[in-house]
Amino acid sequence: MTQTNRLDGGLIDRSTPLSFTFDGRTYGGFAGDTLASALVANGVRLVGRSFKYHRPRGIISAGSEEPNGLVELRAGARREPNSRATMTELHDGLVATSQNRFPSLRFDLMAVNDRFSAFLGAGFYYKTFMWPRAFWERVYEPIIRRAAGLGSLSGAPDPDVYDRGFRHCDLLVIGAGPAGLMAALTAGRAGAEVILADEDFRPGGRLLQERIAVGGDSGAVWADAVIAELASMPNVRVMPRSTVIGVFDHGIYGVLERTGDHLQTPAEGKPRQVMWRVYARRALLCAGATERLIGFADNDRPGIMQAGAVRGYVNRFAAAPAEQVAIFTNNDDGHRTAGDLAAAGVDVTAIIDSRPDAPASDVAELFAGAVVTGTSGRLGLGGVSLRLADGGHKHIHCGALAVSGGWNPNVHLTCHHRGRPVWQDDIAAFIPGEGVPPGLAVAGAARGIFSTAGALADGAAQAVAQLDEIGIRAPASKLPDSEDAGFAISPLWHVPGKKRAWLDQQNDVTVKDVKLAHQENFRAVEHLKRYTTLGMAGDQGRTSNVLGLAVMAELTGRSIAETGTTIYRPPYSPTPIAAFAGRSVGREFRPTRLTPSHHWAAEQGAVFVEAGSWLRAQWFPREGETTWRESVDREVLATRASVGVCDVSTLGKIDIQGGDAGAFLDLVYSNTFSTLPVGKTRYGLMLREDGMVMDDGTTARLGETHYLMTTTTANAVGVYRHLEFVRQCLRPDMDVQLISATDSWAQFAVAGPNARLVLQQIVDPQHDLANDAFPFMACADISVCGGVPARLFRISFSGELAYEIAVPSRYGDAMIRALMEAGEPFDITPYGTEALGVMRIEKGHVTGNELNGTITARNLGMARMVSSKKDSIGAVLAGREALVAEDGLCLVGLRALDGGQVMAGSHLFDAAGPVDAAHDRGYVTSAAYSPHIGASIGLGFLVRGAERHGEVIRAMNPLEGRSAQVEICSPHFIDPEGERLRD
Amino acid sequence: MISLETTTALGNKAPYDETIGGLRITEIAAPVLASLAMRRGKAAGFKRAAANIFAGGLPAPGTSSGDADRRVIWMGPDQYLVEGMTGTELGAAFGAHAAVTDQGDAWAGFEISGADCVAMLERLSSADSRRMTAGSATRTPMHHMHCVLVCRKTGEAFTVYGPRSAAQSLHHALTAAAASL
Repeated sequence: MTQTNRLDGGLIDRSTPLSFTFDGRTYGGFAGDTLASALVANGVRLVGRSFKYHRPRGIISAGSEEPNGLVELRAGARREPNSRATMTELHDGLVATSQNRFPSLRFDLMAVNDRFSAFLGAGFYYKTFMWPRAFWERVYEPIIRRAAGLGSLSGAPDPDVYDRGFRHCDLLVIGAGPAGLMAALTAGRAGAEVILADEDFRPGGRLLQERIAVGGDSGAVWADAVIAELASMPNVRVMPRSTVIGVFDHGIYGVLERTGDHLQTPAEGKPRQVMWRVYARRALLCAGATERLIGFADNDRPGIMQAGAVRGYVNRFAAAPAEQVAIFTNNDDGHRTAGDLAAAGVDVTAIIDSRPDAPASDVAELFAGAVVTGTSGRLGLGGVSLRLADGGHKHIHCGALAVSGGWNPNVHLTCHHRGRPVWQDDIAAFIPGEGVPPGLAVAGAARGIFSTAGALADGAAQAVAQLDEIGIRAPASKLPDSEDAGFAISPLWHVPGKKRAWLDQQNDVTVKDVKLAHQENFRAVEHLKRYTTLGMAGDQGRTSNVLGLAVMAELTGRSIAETGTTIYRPPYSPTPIAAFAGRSVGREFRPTRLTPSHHWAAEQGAVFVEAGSWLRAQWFPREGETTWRESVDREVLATRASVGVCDVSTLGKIDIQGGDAGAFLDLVYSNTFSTLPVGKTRYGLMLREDGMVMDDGTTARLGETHYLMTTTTANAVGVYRHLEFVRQCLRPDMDVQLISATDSWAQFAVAGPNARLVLQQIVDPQHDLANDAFPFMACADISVCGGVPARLFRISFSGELAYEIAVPSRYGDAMIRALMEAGEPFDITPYGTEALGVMRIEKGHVTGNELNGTITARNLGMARMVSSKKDSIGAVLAGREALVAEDGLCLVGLRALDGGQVMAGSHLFDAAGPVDAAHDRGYVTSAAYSPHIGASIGLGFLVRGAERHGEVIRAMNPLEGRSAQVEICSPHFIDPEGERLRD
Repeated sequence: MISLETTTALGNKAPYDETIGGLRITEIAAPVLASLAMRRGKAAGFKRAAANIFAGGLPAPGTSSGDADRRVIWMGPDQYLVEGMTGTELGAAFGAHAAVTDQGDAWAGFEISGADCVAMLERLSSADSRRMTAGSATRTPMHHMHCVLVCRKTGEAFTVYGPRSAAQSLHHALTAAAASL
């Protein structure tokens, strides 16, 4: 439990000690630590194994750019692989495990890969695993799949809740370092709506990691004061633990807030993470810069870190990377690290500065013009070898090496709309160039202004400029004093040598790999990236990209500016898919619509089926019924014998009003509706522009200028959209108004010979239901049960005497109960969608199965419904030559012989002859067992079907290995004359 | 004669009413709503009738007008949703100048009140509820459903209308968001 490398001071809360485990061993830390800083404080250098060669690896950075310190967090279903230790806020009881090693981190058998590195260079998989061909799938692929990847998923559903959200602001400030804090302060004081998002749990950015004074205080004290002032402003929202992952269209930013990651388990119902969609009128990128390393032989040993990260661990977390630390730098930043280490009492064994004119140092021995040529140590750094300015060699003992190769501005978000960064020679780095997303500006180190004073001033100035664009005048804030040092760098990308020098530690890409890419002519940056995998994976190459293309530039002899850079896309940091899904998971993946009789049906023990977003009763099992067929047969027979009731509220209902409503319907339906008398209902066929049938249904004329259209359940939305298109785009001159009435009405089909007798007990007595007074296809506004408004339609899907009665939805539950009560003397039977389907097949009514998008009115035997007396959508193209050919498909009924079964999806073949595509005569669209016929029946489309009634053919289903002898017949299995429904 | 009793959108006799943390969510027992669309060629009469009925006349796109008793919410070009009037009342007021359809049974309505209203709505809707003032209203999707959001009291009280058939899903979305704060 001793934190051997813990120093004094720092921004940790020593009054809150925390305990955590790494690879099963318990360690101590403090509130304010990250997992990485706690491991550093405990002297744990080895934290993982590399992707390809399984090299021992340690923590490199103190931020989200970390390529090596990847662990599995938590256990069980909450296990999360590839979590960056540097971004993991320490909490009591945290469980972390190393990954990509077997059997243990210290002894990893897969490290044998490192011995065969000569065969595993860039693109090795393009050249190996080629022969023999038979090995591709059976041998090579399983091996590669087993070896690939880093961490592993738990395989169990994530038990945590994730959320989404939406926020609006005038100015989104991305990053809470000196530039971001000053920008937020300036905008906040001006009264603008401000969101300040920072990926750290404590705002302040580099100010927390440096010993630089701001306004006379330490940077951390100044940052705390600014945050306190911002927190007091109602117009400012500070969002710590929030990463801006992407810039999308129209000023929309994705922000992942980690609301519960720092807790052992989020409280019940509280989200672990929230994915915010931020609508920002303007945004300011203050994302700072990332320090890069230098390539030299074996530069990936645990203990080799960014110099700036070393300062961060020492200053912010009071954790020394080792007792003895050496510095390797090509710029002044390394000297700052040496000063901070010395101030904290850490032994700085050497400053190796590649610049011959390196500034003198009073804290450690300086080797100017020297470079590191190699390192030693097995599972951690033991020392480094130098080549001195005079060509001599030297070995220096150290447990850590702080490396500074210069700083890369974090330009990533500026590239999300294909912006191209441009090279700036004096800082040897890419800065934002052309194509920055509209509304986004960049301030501070993110655009190459590296001094603290410069960043503070730039943040304030950019905020003023951004707000000015949207008409908000922000007075200039008084800037606090701070350091304003220049930035002197002499680029050094890698130290040439024979051994491997790592550029991208997450993907195991070395200088040799870049040389190989060059040799094989993959020289363009995009080719280099794909060939070597440089800059891919979770860190998006933040520490490696520039190194790789600088090496390529050296090889090609072109400048880095000419070589260019690859660009970045969202997300900026790895983002769980769960956060994108939010609460739209499991049963609540999408909304569910319930019918007005749902609760009643559930009480009856109904079995429900999803129909679009609706839940409908499929059948109502009764005690003693062991199969669904028993229930469905009973429901069908009872309905045909006496009376049944079914909730049909799901059918789309569209209220159509206006002086041109009739003409409008004449246009959208192939048959005529303008002549329909008030109080009547008509079946309508709606075609697409290409002449295929789109939907069918009945439309009632409720008044001179008022119609009510019914659509199929499945097409309710599509038909409404189509009508709106016709109204708004094709005929804006027409006086037509549309509104959906689907949810307004609870509608029940009451079908069977006793339907009228049941309804007569419900319908108020002034409404005469006698056949003459209210004949087939009549409709009326009526009242029921003593004055409740209702609509009655005499239409039939089942082929029986039938009505559909509609009441306002609030009465729906009461209505089904009333119908059941009124129907009790007639053994009224509720039926579900299965019985509904059986009865409509028996009657030969078509539905979505038949209206499959390839079927014309002529195929349905309804060619005469396409009126030639008027123009209607689809009428012209329905007359295309091929669509009116004599040998077209024709709707037929099919009856299985000898107890066989008709299966939907079967194809139809002549009684004898081959079964192949060339002899296909049609197909079966719907099938059911008809208790009325006592056989399996179906509907289908058959070439010249109308002429073939009485023939026996074969219905074949090779997929299921089934076939049946079927007799072709009329699609109307019951009451073909339609006498029952007119009775 | 059998008599019919009404149920709420959630399917109960009494409206749902629950306080979750600092938020109270109440189901509106029977919303009073009607759709209003201008008949083509009847603009003058339509606007005259609207001016008589609604304080402030017809609202501009994306806004609403009216007072606490009657509110008219813009839904689309020449299309509105009217709160506080039934289809019968509205139809009588507009005569042949408008197409009116009662919508009281088409929507489920929930009143939300409490200091955390905006924080909760931020989890559900892309509408800028933080800047909505009393009386402002907007169409907005919530949990994949088309909804209408009306602000009753700035920052403290809102009404959400959603499809009646999906009342259970809307209720789930609202209560889960309230519990997640």
